[in-house]
Amino acid sequence: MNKKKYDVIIIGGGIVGVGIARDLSMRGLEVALLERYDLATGATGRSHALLHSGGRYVVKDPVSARECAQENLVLRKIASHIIDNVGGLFIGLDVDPPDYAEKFIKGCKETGVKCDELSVKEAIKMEPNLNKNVQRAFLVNDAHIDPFKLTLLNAIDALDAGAKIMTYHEAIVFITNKKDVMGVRVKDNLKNKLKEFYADIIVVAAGAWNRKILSMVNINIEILPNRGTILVISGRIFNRVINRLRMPSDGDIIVPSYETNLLGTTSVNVSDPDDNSPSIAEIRTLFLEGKKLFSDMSNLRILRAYAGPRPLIGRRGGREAPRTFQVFDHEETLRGLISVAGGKLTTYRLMAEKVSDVVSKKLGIRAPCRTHKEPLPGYYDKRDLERLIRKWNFTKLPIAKILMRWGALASTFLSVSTWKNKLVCYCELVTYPEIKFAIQRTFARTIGDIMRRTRATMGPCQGQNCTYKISSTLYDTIENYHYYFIRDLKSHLRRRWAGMRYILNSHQANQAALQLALFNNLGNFNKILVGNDE
Amino acid sequence: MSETIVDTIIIGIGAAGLLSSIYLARKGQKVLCLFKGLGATAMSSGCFDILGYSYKRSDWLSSFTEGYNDLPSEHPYKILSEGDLHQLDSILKEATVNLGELFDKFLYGNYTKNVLIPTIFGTIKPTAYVQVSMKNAILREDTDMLIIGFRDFYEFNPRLIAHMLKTALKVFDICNIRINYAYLKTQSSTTFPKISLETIVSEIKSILKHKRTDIILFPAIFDSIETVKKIEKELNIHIAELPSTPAYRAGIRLNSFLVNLAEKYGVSLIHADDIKVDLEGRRITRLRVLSHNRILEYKAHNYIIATGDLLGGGLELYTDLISGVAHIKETLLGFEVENVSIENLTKQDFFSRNGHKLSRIGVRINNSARLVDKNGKELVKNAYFVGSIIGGYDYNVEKSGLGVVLVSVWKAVNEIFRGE
Repeated sequence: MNKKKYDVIIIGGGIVGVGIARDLSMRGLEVALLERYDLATGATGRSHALLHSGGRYVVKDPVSARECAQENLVLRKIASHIIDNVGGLFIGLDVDPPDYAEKFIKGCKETGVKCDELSVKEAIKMEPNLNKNVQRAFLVNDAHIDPFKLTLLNAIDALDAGAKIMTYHEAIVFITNKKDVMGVRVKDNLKNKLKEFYADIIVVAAGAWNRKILSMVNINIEILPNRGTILVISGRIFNRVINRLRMPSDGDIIVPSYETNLLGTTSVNVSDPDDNSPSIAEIRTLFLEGKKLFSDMSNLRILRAYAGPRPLIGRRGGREAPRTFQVFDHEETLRGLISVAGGKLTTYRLMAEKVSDVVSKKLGIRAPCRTHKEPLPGYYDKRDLERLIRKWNFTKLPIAKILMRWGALASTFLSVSTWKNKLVCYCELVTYPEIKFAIQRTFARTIGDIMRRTRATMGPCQGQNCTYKISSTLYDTIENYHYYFIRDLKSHLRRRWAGMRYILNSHQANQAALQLALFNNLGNFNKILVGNDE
Repeated sequence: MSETIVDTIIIGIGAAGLLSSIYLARKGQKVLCLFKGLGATAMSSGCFDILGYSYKRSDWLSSFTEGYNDLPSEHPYKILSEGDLHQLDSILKEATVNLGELFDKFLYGNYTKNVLIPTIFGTIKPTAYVQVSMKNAILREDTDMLIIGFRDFYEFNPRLIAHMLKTALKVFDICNIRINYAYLKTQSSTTFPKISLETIVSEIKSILKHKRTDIILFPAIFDSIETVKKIEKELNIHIAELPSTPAYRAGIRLNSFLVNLAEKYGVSLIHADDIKVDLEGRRITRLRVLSHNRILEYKAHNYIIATGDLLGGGLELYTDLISGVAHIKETLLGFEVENVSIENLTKQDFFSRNGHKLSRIGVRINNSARLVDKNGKELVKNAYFVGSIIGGYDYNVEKSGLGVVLVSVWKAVNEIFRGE
């Protein structure tokens, strides 16, 4: 049995948990992170991928607005290579409350959120696809940030600083001694094995799952999982983040993300954070609200719908709950147990810093936080782009994509690989060396892991052409993959189908018909249940 | 404006359209085939399924006759054969006997008997006919099979296929087939598409020095069956290709074989960007075709509509996300096929054993392959609907795709001859 004792165990591999792992290991602590699936499989990866300017919360939630505005600037410094600096617009339509604009201007001033008013003509010139009933427009510092990549880069940095990151390790029982927390018993979800890990301090950073995890030691915490649904629209109708100039509500943000636009969100309180299936009603709401910004919604190709649970603190939930975060010290029940919840993707680093301060204090560590000063792995100065492209001697189109995905980390695989021109995913132009790198260096274990790291299977064909190729590479690279290969292949295609089925329309319906025919007619998968399946 | 008059106009260039045109043209009809894209047959596995599964039994059928009674009454097989198994048998018999070039020469098999064949995924499926180049892959008791691929051609991973196949064999309860695998040293990326046959042959020869086998399984990458035969001859060993996904050659090869056959019998193939159908009463009177920026007019006594399902483009699905209703339209004549809630249409699991409503949508026909409404009333007198545009069956479950094509085509063609 593993008797090694860590300083800190973190439960939860979302952006906050991984952020804490990075922070603490940079302060010199020995850290182990446990995640039941892959990194960013909870609310992080199911988020809107929006780097908030803060503008959304200036009227309703000024504390959160201020936090967002500050962290926005910090992330632009340390993670510029994974930020698509598109900028954002707040658009007041004729249906929006006309008095909100003045409140917005006042709120921005008070919270330090930068905003410039534009004329309607300027706004429409910037975004010609906007409906023509625009009344007011403000330019803000919104941007797109890849949540998968943000989490992964934090994890790689933590690894480099000595942390142990264990994906597919699910905490099932806390090991305690009277009133002290000693460690956790863990189930390895891929190998189906039990393990134990020990530490002085345990941090629960599992977001909406905190309640469930803390209930194992009879701690009752008020966190209400709140489902937000997002539609993925193929192609970019807007090149900037579009917000509605009104109190935050459903379907009022559209974020450009790679080759898509993400239209969200909804707000539905759910009892189980794993309840991640978007409902038809939510899709309808998003569609109707989207139509107010872009009238030709019906002719768009929608690729899929996805949803994730916001970890909202308090009993009210929904749009009323604050977007700020809170660190809980559970010393009275169990010494050494800390949890954190609430917050936004944009404020993850600040949350991690605050948690790490509490942990450091408990352990008597004086080292200061450095996460806001040191750039994340793969950082490069965008002025070096041409030089990098020349150095790698690579076809130009995929290189732009590779840089967006990996930044300067790409040099580690592009300079050595022999099959660097082989494309695996034709929709997202993902190359073979990236898949290899994701497996060998960033602990990808399943097709879904590869997807989160490279965007393969996220494009218009939704994994029809590359799913099998990826599993073939996993099969050749990972020793134990054959144990769960069929389970992995099937569950990946099932999840793609679950995201597609309620939005099937026009071309995407033809795509689904082809996918069904390839795997079920030719592959006969619907009649053959092979391996340890179902 | 020119106007062309022929005996029959066929719309669609998949197996349904091409088979119809071949049967008609061979009997001396003047036939025109209009097409827009490549046709869904080019995307198929290249096998010719008749009926591999029914709904009441979970195991595969050794012949379509075993599953016929279990099919629902709205199944095209039931409708076209008027609920009589013997009638279905005789349709299949006549249709296959009358096209020996396809069924005896290009394909290998028998409509009454299913065989099991491994696929590119390493799974196994039942089918009635396979291409001659796949014949040796048909699973037979007591054989040694050797899967050979390229190291860098990871779409076809011999080790993975072997692994899958071993497990699949257990599911099908076949125990004495031995599976082995090997890799060629040549890199596919540098040699595609001009793989040097000499290199392949010599490398396989050196593999065979240490590995004994009866059959070699190979990816379907060769453009013609002759190439496969040539390698077989040089090695003096059986080689078989596996039924495969698009971009491999098997489906494309079946499609081009049918195109060549149709052209041989004098069928004119004309590309159509758009087709407007003139209907008078319950008859199609004229087609106005936009082809290469010209508008052409065509008239015929009979029309065969073989435009396919969602995959081929014969059907279109539009979902109104506000009401959640999916509207399914037939694309040529533009009539509504069905309005159904999207939730209902797609509620099944991706791998559902009983299939999907999405796959079952299609037009309603009667026993002469004419379009009918809910009450069975014929809607168009001189048009026949053949192939996957017909609803009421799910080829993904049944493995019945080209079988339904063949039966509907044969009925339509004979209706046309009867009316002459």
